[in-house]
Amino acid sequence: MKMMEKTVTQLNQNKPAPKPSPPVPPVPPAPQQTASLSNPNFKLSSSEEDAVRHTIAPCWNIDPGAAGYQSMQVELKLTLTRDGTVVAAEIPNVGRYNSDSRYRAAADSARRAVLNDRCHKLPLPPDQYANWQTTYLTFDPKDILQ
Amino acid sequence: MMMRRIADVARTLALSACGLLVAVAAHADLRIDITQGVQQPIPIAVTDLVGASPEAQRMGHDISQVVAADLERSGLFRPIEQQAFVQQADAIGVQPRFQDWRLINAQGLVSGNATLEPDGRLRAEFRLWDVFAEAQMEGQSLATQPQSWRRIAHKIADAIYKRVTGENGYFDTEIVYIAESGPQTRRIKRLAIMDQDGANVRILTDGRALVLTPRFSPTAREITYMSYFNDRPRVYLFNIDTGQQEVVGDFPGMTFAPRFSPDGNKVVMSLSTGGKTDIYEMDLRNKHVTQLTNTPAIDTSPSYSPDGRRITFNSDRGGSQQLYVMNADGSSVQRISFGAGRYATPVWSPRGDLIAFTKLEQGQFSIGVMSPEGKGERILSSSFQEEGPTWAPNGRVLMFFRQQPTDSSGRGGAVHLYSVDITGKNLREVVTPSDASDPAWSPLIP
Repeated sequence: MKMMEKTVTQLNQNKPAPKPSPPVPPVPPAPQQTASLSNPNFKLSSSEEDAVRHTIAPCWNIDPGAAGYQSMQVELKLTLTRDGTVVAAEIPNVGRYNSDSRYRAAADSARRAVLNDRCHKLPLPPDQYANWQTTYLTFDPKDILQ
Repeated sequence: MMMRRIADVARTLALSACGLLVAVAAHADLRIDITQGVQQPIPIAVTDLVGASPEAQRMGHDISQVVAADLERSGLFRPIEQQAFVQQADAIGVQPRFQDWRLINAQGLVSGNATLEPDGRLRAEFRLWDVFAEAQMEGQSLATQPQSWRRIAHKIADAIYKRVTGENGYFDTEIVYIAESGPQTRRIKRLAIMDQDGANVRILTDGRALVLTPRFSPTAREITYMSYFNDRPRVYLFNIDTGQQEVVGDFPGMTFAPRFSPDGNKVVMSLSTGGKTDIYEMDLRNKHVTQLTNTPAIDTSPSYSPDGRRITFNSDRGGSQQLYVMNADGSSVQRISFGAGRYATPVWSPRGDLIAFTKLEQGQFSIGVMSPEGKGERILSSSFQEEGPTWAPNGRVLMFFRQQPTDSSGRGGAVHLYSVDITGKNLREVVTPSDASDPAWSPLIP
């Protein structure tokens, strides 16, 4: 078989310049009293937490065939509007994202779940907006069986 | 008095400031664990690579078709029909209209262009986009001779697979197998090779000698296989690119299932002499042979771990055919299979985490996997007869062959290749021009 003569060049992400990160629509300014209204002891009820899980579950695509998938926990930092819509999803562990291809794949998969139009509006109590306008989600597949 | 008022105001402001700090410091963000998800292929839009000339346009279309087929066959992607596209490929340019791709539920988008350069080479550029994040995930430019356009397609598919799954792809690979033809009583078996998707089938031997158990070198474009010359089994080494072959060894007695070490320097096999069968290792550099097992039992089908430090094989030393693992020097033999039935043809995953095997239980053949410690046995496929698992180089997919039963008049008995994901999903026939058996998967082509 004739060997392939090939050159592989990594196409620069910025030339031409695609957007390096998802656009963040303007977040409505929080009322000034937000800080004073936030409750450090705030917790969702079990049913409210389950409702969030059930909203995201249909869009979180896990891959049980991936090596070590059950130990691949990913954290996302979400910015939400008052109606519970995710407007930004950051991956805080940038170091691992840039160095571990499996973590990067898992993190991207989690981010796609919360940015999916079908799943990006979380059922959270509007009167407690100050307590969840920034929400951290930990995607943890350890109990999901192959 | 005035000074005291100023001091009181200052104290109040300071306390207020402290109070505010306390309130901010005490603020806690909501945290939720997400523990439920789904397992489904990722919808991806693969547009035609845009060409400036009709010929380049045709090649761009063909490349995209092969990329989409590779991704679809993995079971991890669902390419979206091109008729559903809102934005056309030639309008994407350098920045897709992501809203158009969200409309058709695409999560990934592949765009690019194909160019025939003045020196005659084909250049393909592609970009993989995350539609929801509106960001480029991957972008590469590849060039080759136009006749190798399928390899460009497989390399693009591999790059997409790696970026999305985090693991190496397996599309730019080949399968060597035994092409079978003729009636069951006078079967002709020839060595054949094809791309992993069944394209580019080439027959390597003329069928005059029986050939068995082809295996790829992990490091060179070479295959070992067994062939019977004057009714004597010999182990051959075949160079894929030059077509040259040489005899590796002309061993006394029967020789079975030669397999390379991960560094390509050795071959491990079983030899049958004096009424017993043991595992031997040959150093290909100096042809030195070392006996690794020495029991009255039948020890066969050795396969190295990816680090070359251990070997799995099957043996009936315990009374029935079971799987064992030992150090590469033959020490510390441990049995790892304990289930009902007989176990055979163990093959260590290139990922190191699993050993694939053939199992025979109650007249049914199965392909399964278990950990190298013998835990977590999973059956991936079962039928009347199937055997000979071989791993894709990323350890994610297995290929094997399945034979249909023959009727009382000797009709039937067709034998075909199948692939299955290690999750047990995505079982598919690998279509070949003739009957096919004993596949072996190559490493990624350099």
